[in-house]
Amino acid sequence: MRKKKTSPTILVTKDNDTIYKGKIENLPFKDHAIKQKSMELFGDDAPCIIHQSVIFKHFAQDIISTFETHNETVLPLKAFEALDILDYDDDTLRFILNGGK
Amino acid sequence: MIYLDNAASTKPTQKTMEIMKETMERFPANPSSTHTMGIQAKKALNQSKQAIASMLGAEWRNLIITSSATEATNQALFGMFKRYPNKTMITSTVEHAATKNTLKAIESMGGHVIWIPVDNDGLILISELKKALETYDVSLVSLIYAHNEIGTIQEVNTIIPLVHAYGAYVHLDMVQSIAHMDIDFTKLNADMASVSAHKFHGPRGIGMLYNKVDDLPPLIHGGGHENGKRAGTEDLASIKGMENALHEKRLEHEKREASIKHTARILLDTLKAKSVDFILNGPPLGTNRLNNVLNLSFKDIDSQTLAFELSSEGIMVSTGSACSSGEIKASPTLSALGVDHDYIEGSIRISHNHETTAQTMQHVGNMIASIIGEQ
Repeated sequence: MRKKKTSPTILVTKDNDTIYKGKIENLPFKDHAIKQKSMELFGDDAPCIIHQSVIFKHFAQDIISTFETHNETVLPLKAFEALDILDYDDDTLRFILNGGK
Repeated sequence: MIYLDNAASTKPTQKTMEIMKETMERFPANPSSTHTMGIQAKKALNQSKQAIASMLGAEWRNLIITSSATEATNQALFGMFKRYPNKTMITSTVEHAATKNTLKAIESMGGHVIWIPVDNDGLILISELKKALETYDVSLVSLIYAHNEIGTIQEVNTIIPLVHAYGAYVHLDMVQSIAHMDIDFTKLNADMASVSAHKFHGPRGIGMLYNKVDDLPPLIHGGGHENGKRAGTEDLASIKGMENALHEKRLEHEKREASIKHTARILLDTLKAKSVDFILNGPPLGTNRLNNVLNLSFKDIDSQTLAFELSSEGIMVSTGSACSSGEIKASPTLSALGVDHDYIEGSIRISHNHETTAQTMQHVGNMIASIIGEQ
């Protein structure tokens, strides 16, 4: 039974500092990735805010799948490299699914 | 795929699609042409409009075929504003964007519009309507008859005579009501009404304005089509498609609506049996509401996420969210109803149809319970 009362959250840390804490879909995503996904889903390179929200949910799903593939709740930025969606460039960042719970 | 977004659009029936194809093949000529083929097309067009009018208890010359209900509503509202620029128009706070944004455009052009609030079920406050009618020189009251988001059916049998008593006209947005209610325009006695075919398994791109107001000006200018009320070569295939969809709907009306009500109950019972914390927005089932428009609000749930999860499971539902100034906001209709803060962000609209089975609705109820984590 899945428990999804709200969107999954993520914690992004650098050393012991919190860089981001919140819904996965609210992470910073690369503009080109948003455009590319929008073209794939909607055939539109300038998505409206509602279409953007759908795109971000797809991205969140991809990120969760990456955690599931690695069977980990904590991953480095490098683990998401193949997705090419996250707008971060610091390899020391750590991504913690649901705050590690 | 389980399609539960019929209030947004429906699939045309097989026969409707066949009739449209056949019409395009049989009547390639412009109905305004005076040669034999044009005359044949014109006759078919008039016969189709007469059949539609007959099914709706209307005079066929009172039907103005349009491209959509939105266009029909624009013509009704702008037309009245043009005729009575110094008079007041009245509407409610829960109108469809077609009415709301047209009236906002009229306001921006100097028109005066009064927005009447609704109660917790979405019913217009008739006492407030009466006050406005007493206070202002009103040209038109425009209301949504059956609500597209919450299913509330307005008390038009009280409202229309009241408005007429003050010498004003009534326009009804009948997009959802015509799809699910037995409508007779003569008995209803509204002055104008907007209709769209794709809500009752007809084609998209075709609708009509029922109009009894003399000298209502056209919105689209050009040739003398539609008795000079709406220019543009008539789309005979779509009109024939609309006619057939309406015919099928009327033939099966009671059976379809009984099935819709039954399966609506099954969904609600399934959610209750799973102890899901939700509210059905609008009036309860079996009262003055459409049974195929089930707006459900789930406590502490993000509707966008729920709709996305359901879509991933092959279940298509709608959220009533609106894009406003670059952010997604809760439905203005639900806000007008005063839906509790804990619930309003978790609102989805499930609009099934007569082909939706009891098993499907049970499955959907179970899936919702599963997604939001209830047993």
